[in-house]
Amino acid sequence: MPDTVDTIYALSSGGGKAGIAVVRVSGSLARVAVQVSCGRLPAARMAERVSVKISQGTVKLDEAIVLWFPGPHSFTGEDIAEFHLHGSLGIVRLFLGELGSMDGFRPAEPGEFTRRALSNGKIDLVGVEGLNDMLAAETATQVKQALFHVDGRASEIFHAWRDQLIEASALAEACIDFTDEEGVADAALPQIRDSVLDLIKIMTENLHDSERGHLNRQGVRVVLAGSPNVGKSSLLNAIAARDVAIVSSEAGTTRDIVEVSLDLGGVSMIISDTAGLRDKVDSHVEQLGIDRTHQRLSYADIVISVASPDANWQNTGVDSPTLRIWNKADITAPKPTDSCEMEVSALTGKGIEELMTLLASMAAELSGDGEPALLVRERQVQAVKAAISHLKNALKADLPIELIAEDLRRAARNVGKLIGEVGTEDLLDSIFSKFCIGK
Amino acid sequence: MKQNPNTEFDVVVVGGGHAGCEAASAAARRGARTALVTHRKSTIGEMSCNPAMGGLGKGHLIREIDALDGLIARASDKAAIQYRLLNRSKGPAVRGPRAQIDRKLYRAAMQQEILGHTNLSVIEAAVGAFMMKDGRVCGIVGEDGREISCLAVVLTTGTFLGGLIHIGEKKIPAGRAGEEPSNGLSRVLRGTGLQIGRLKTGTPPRLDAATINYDNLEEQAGDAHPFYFSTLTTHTHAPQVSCHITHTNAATHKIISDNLHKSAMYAGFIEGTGPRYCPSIEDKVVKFADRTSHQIFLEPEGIDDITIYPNGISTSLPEEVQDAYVHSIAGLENVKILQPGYAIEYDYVDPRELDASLAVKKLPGLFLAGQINGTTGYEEAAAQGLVAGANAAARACQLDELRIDRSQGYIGVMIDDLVTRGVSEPYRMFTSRAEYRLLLRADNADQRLTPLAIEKGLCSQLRKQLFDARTEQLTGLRDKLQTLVLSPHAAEAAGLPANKDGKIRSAYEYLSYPDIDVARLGLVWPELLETASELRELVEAEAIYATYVDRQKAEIEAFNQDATITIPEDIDYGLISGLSNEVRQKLSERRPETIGHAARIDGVTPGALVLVIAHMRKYPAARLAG
Repeated sequence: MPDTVDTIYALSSGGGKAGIAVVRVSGSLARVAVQVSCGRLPAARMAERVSVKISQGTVKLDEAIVLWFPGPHSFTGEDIAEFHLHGSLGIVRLFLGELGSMDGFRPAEPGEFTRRALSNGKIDLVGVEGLNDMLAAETATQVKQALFHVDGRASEIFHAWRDQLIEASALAEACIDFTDEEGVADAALPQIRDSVLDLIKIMTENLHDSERGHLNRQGVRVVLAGSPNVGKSSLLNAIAARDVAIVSSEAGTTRDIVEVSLDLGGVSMIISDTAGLRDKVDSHVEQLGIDRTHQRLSYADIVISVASPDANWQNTGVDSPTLRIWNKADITAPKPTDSCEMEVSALTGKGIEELMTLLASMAAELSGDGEPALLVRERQVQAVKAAISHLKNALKADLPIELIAEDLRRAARNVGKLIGEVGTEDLLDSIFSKFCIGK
Repeated sequence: MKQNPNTEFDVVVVGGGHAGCEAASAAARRGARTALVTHRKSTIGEMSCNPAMGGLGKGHLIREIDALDGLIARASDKAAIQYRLLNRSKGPAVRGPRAQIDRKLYRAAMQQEILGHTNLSVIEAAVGAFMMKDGRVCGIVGEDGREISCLAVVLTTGTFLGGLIHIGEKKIPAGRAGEEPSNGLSRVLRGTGLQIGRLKTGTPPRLDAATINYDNLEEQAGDAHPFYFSTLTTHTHAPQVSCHITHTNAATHKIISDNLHKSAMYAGFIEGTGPRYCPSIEDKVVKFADRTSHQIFLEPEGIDDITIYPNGISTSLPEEVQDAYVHSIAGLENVKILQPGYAIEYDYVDPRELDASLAVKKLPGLFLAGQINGTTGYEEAAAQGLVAGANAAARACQLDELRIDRSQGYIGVMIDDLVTRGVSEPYRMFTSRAEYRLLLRADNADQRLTPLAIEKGLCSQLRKQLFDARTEQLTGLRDKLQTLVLSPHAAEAAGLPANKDGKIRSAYEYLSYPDIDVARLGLVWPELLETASELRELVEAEAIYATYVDRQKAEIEAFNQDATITIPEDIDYGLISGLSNEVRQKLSERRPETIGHAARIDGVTPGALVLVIAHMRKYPAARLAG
């Protein structure tokens, strides 16, 4: 069959002026692109300096490094060529134009290199998701977390779960289908039980860690809350103005909530200002703002509850770790003695440094010092929760073997959602390798 | 129904084994003028391997064949000499009816069905080639040159295509012991460009019952209350006998290990792949070296037959080695071997060459069923025969096709596995292959499939009446169970488990409790006992699985949705960017009919399916054109 898949190309480094621009080409014609523009094919996987020419190899464009990765030993599994050009807008534009003029070449769609890697089995779903996170990572913790999924450590654990489930399922299926065989059913039920208990334990531990994974990936959510006019906005500005670690500062989706995202000791942190809390509310608009504050508080990993000479601490209504601070410490005023953890002044900057240090240590503790977690996405958490629930069902007293088998299949299907299906042949392979079947 | 005056027959079935008999009968029942062509009338219905029918998964297949008004179930009941319902102690979904069969009685019962069948002629001939016209198969040519024209041919040649028997280093071309192979047909098929491979299976030596010492052997008797294969069967026909169990021992294993180099398998004479679930005794000794003993079932081949089939020691060792190891086994010290065991290699056609009607995609007019499709077992062969025969009639007489999907029966599971995944060893049915196992039970096969048989004209009037009566009784019982209710207080008084929540529960709800059956509820409501016990058990099974089955039904809906997304026949997978070469090649070759089929092809990932669906959405015009 003729291979009619297009060869794709794209500028794989960032746009704009830069020292180097990397153009990547993938597909069966990548070889042609190199031969035409460089006049020859360099040795596989060896960096070589070449003259890059355009207009069918007649006009010299640049001196560049070119790398040649023949498939299947490449990122996408297809032939890949990488051109490391000088990063000028003109060179890049002319070179991409040259590729576009060749027959069978077209610009890559967003994510197409990765998609080809996926469909050629060079990377699995877990890896693709990790890669996505890695490209979006802003802090050291996020990089570490993403790497755990990209380099295959996460897949390895999922595969181990899958294998253990296949083994337990195979035992149950053997009890059903090979009932006349000697030595099949004897030890099966206790073995299944032990294996299922073990899986439930490991999966549950990882489920607990998933909160940490979420923090690593999305950042620690800190919410400033308190009565109106205690200086929450000034406090947020003081934090934002303090140092260069700010990642972004933009208005939230509502007029009332402003967020600052920063990198605090390698941990990503999002601090939100909120509308002031009051018991008695005058207007509908103010009530809406307060509702949003409560909603935001319910997602908070850390709450900074602010009081000042103007107003005492408010009840935030949530049980997340809470830091009670006294703002406007520059004003001399009587201060309630109960459980104030820190005095600051947004105006003079007093105590802000200490506040940041305290937040950093709280965040580090919450995120387990940035140790990567296995389950970082809602999809993964849901699949593992479902698997655990089926496994628990399989342990019910006096459950007939065919229903144990059914629950194990369903658990396997959910683990399969993490990495790929578990088929009947996997079960049969396991049965036949373990038992001497056949009268 | 279309009349075809220009051909001698509508359908010609080649082969008189289990697939051939069912194919011929199914085609004839649909009204097609059918011919069954076989080497010898006297070997119709021969059981060439072990003298047993049914088992786990296989028993389900027989019940389904019966539900479609096929022959194998009632012929087996006429010849059964020991009934055992396997997994009786486990749940109803995984119970499998099995019986030891008297070979002669079975052959007689099957020949009676076939030779007296309406619309069916039996012709004795060896088939050597096909008649072809415009790329279509339109008849067969006998080795004597006789031509028989028709509109559809069903090939059910079992192990006869290129059959080669191995005993040690001896090689004998044969279809089975003492019968000629079909080498001409093998050459013809190889010339058509179909993918053809080799498989292997084996048999044990046959023993003389009179020379076995049964004194110290364990006896295995049949069930006191037989579970019959056919819903038409009302009583046991033949006298019932026991089997015996013996074991290999260290001495047996030593003889086998010492002579391994003489085994046809281990000496490398055999290229075909054998089944893992039915290994030769050589395989058992080598692969499970830690086992000091393997079980052997001594199965009688008939009531007035001295032959014993020792199930568990199939072999391709030379005769003198067979002789030595058999005599090392308890009870067989002085046994006389009637016929040596052998391995047989044969051609099979990659079943991915077929569509779900069992038609060969590249050769219109040709259908394949049984071992030629890479399966093993009488039941697997018969089930395919029925489907192929019904569809050959459909093609010849322009009737509706018979298609059974995975949610309807084990037959559907098997055919879908074969045509989408192919085989790497002889394919045998297991209950674990059926993902809807809780729904596809042996007890409800008629409820699942007889309506289909009625719709397709496969079903006799007698069976239809029986089916209607059973259905009426079942509906009556279910209605009663739903309408009869009891308060917790009254339940306690009646000795039923009472949950004191004040909630009134139906008899059906009480039935889902462990240890509560209809007989127990009959103490409260005697009218429940009016239903036949067999049907009471069926409803009890429904109650046990109710919560699981609801979820399975939801899965079936999702499955059916995939099955409704038809892939245009002329789709060009080359145009779909992002598909790997491997997947593109597989899809191009197999040309799945629906997304559901595509999903079950090895190596086709969910990602690839999304690309295919996206492509179909992007080019709806191509879809209309297809």
